[in-house]
Amino acid sequence: MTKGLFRSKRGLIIVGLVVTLLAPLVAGAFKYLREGMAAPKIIGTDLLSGERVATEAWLAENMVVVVFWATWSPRSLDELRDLKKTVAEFPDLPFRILAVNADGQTLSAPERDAIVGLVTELDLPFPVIIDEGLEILYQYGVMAMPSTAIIDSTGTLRFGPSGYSYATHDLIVDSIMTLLGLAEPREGLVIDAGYRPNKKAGRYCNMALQQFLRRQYEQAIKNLDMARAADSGFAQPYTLRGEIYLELDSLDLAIEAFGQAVGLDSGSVPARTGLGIAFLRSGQLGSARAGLNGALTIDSEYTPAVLNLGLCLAELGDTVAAFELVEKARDLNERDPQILYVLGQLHMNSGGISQAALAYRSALEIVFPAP
Amino acid sequence: MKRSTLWTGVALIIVLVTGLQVSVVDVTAQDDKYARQRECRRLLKDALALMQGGQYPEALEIIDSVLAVDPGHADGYYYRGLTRLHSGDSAGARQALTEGTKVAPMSSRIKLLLARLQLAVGDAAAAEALVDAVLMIKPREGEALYLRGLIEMDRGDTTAAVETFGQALEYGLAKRGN
Repeated sequence: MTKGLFRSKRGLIIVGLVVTLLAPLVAGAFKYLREGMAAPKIIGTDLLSGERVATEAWLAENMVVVVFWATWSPRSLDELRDLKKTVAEFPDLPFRILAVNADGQTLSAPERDAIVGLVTELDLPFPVIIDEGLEILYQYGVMAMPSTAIIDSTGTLRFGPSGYSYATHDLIVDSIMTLLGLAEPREGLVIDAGYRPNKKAGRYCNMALQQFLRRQYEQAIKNLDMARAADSGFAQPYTLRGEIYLELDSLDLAIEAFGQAVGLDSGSVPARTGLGIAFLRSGQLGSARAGLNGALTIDSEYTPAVLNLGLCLAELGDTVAAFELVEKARDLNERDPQILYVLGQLHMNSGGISQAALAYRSALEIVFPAP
Repeated sequence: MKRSTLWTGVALIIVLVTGLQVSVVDVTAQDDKYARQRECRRLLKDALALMQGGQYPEALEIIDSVLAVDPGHADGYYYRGLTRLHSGDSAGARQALTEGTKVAPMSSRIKLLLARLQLAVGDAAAAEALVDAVLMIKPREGEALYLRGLIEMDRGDTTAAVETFGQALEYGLAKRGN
């Protein structure tokens, strides 16, 4: 029988860690961006040519496709190869691609060499930059590897699929064609969705995000209040507010904030997931399950939702389903140490000491890599 | 003016001037010390960049110059060890780090890197002593707990290792989140 994860101090710590630390280090759509919001500008140096790359310079005449990828993500490599073919197939269309490598927070010389070697081998017709310190990844709130941001010429995020499959590739191509006015949106492709906040609200929200990432929560909340005052229909300030309250362990306030976000934007996967997590941490398992399932109905691969639903099911005694979900989360991001930690805990609670040790060790190899 | 008052005044002036000179010398000496430290840090940063670029002999040259100027510089020993390790000289790395543990006994990162190298050559006892030394001062040092867990696993004590790994992850993930 699964030990109640929430009835033990360790269990509470696990959940707290999962919630607070499963932030931008992979898996899901963009946690801090919704379609309709301004996409953060990206500047970098092309890995092979050494030339400066700036998405802002491209936007005047092109739409931009940004792909976040990693050498350890096989699906990332599939997407890069497919995009290479797309560029060859449509050489004259006004879109530019930028591949942002997010292999890790710090990279050793051999790791960099490996990235350069792979990029050389792939022979891509678009620039590749390394996200030093994963700053761009955090700005976007990337939750899956790979993740793709399709940005129109006004710099607005229009479509942001996470993960990759052949279906995703078709969606990406279709969205490019639709946004360029070369095709009607195919059934099921919603790329013009998303509330467009007014600029003032967007700016305040962006400032709050920077403060949130620096853990300056009080200032962040003030700016979120300003964002809400500037545009009352903008859901993202409520979502970010909910994230802050989760960090501060103010679960009732988190539930309220996420609830308001979902009320304004029922399609927001991060908001639905945040609500589910807040319910989970406050022990309201039924509501948690419903909330997280709701998020996964919209995006079945949003890793925080997958992982936390696994935790919820473990708590409800459905160990088999819990393992399935946590393993799925690991498949979506095999380099996320929090997922491995949760997997280890599930093994521990099921009596699988050796498997727990392996999972923990894998996590620790990522957290404390050899210098 | 009375002569005694005059001489008292002169004595006072001499004391004041001497004191001022001493404090100026102190300040100057301190300024020199800080300047040297800053310069050492800058040089080590350059050495690190060279090391990351695979230019190991050049990196070592700079590190040697830092340690010539400041033989007690803990980071110097750490980077000397790290650079030798990356250049393939594992024995040289262990030697540099061992020296570093004597010169800078409070440096946990020197101990932990040395512990990793000791584990790599199969000297679990030496690794354990280093890890325990770190944990005595920093009981929540995640990396030390991780290495302790590895030692326990090598010993066949999986139950203890899982417990230790769990603690290492709690502290390590929390720090990472910061």
